[in-house]
Amino acid sequence: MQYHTAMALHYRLYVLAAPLVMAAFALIPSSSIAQQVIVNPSLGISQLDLPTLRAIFGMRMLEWPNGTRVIPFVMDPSSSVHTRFAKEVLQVFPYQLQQAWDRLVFSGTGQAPLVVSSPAEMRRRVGQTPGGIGYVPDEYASDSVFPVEVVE
Amino acid sequence: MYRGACALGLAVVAEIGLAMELPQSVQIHGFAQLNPISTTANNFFGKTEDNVSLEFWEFGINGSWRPSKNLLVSAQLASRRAGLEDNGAIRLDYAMLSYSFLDSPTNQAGFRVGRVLNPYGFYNETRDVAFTRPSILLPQSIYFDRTRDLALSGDGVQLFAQTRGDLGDFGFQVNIGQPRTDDDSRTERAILGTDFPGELKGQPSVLGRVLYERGGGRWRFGVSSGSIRLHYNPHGPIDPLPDGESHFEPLIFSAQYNTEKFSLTTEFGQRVFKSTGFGQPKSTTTGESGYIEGVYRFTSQWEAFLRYDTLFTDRDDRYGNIFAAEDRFGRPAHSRFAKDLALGVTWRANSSLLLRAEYHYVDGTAWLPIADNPDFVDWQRYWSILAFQMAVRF
Repeated sequence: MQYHTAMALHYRLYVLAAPLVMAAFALIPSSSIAQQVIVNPSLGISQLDLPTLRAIFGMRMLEWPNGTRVIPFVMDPSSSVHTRFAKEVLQVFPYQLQQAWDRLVFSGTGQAPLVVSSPAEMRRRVGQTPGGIGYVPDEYASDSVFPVEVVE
Repeated sequence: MYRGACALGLAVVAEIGLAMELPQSVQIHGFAQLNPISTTANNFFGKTEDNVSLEFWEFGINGSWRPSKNLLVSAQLASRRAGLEDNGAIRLDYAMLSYSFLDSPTNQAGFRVGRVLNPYGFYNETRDVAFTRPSILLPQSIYFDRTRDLALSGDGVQLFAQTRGDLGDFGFQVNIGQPRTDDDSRTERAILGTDFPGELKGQPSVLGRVLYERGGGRWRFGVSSGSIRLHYNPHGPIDPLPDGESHFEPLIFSAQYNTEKFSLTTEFGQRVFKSTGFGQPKSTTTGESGYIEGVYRFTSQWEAFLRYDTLFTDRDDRYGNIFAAEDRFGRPAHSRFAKDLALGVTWRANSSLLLRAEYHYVDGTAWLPIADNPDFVDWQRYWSILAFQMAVRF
């Protein structure tokens, strides 16, 4: 009997705690919000496969199918938004991306992506640049840029 | 004059970079490194024996411009001081025009002309940039620093192609051109054993590499091979070394496995060295090189590496006993091999500052810089290196 009372009390505590825990997570945006790939609307692209996205952010794909130059934007490579984008969306480690860019830049065979300082700037620059592609935390996706679904 | 013009060029590039709003397709990057070194015996890039030398440093600046989507113009000027082996003269590492005639989302192909970088192993093209390598000294069995310019780039054309599909990404590059022998005396010391009065000149050569990557770079494989030719023109009849030609034919396999915390890398292969003329019978020597290296990333800033690197100049005389008995310069047997156990730590403070410390325990002197150690009798078989590095880039 006593045992059952204790169980019920625990259960009630969990029920109470659950919304509190969920609310707490909601208050930490960088760890709970997914990264959304965005492109300039003029490209008319709504879907990209993972190898293509890796080639784009690895600075190895230079041209969109419609002939526009691919212009990738990234956040500060040490930022959590970038780290999460690399690991969760591209499924590569941030150091691998950095190494790939360094190899291109210091061998004169390619260029580094353009770095922006905030999600708001990312959205603005991608929206203004024909051929632009970037990523933002979900809450920053808006009509000025097209969200792109990543398929594996 | 040449050096003055280069310095002026650097100043102009820097000035333009600071003063003008550059088009979005222009990028300017640079790097600078100072590498204090101390050794227990032998000198490695400076007076390092029982002393801390500051005579090993490197800096460079490069620019690239993409005037249209299938055209890229890029060049890098660099200076490298490495004890008496390299004097710090400003030199043109590469200057090329890349044109891609095929550029689809999955396939690219094109060519580069000018002074082009040699496709060789995982690290050759960016061998001077600390941020792109795991350690202060690259494994010397594959990336000889004493033939740095010759190994780095050549004048000619490069054909390149890459394709990606379900199997992974394939890349192919082949260079056809003339090897760089700007600093003729350094190349002669490395190839011929000492600086002779005549001139060693690059001949038409080929070098190519195939790279294969899977899983966004989780697995990387490469094969590099080619034939590099050098010809020696004696300086009149007083020259002790008659006319001759050297062929260098490397075959190097590279493999790397990457996880978030750990990377395992190995590169190994054979280096065939053929020599005709020089008043000697024709000779072919096959050398063996190889290393295995683990890198562990504790955090995004701290990493450590452990590496074992071996080199045998002649696989038919691994410990150089036959060589030493016959050598006319009196080079010791241990100048024909080197086994290097190295470990070190790296701190990447941020994306533009890096500090390193590393230790090497070396048995053998096969890659000892000759200019820093002019008397072969002083060469010590067992020695160790303690090196530090401060590196910045932008």
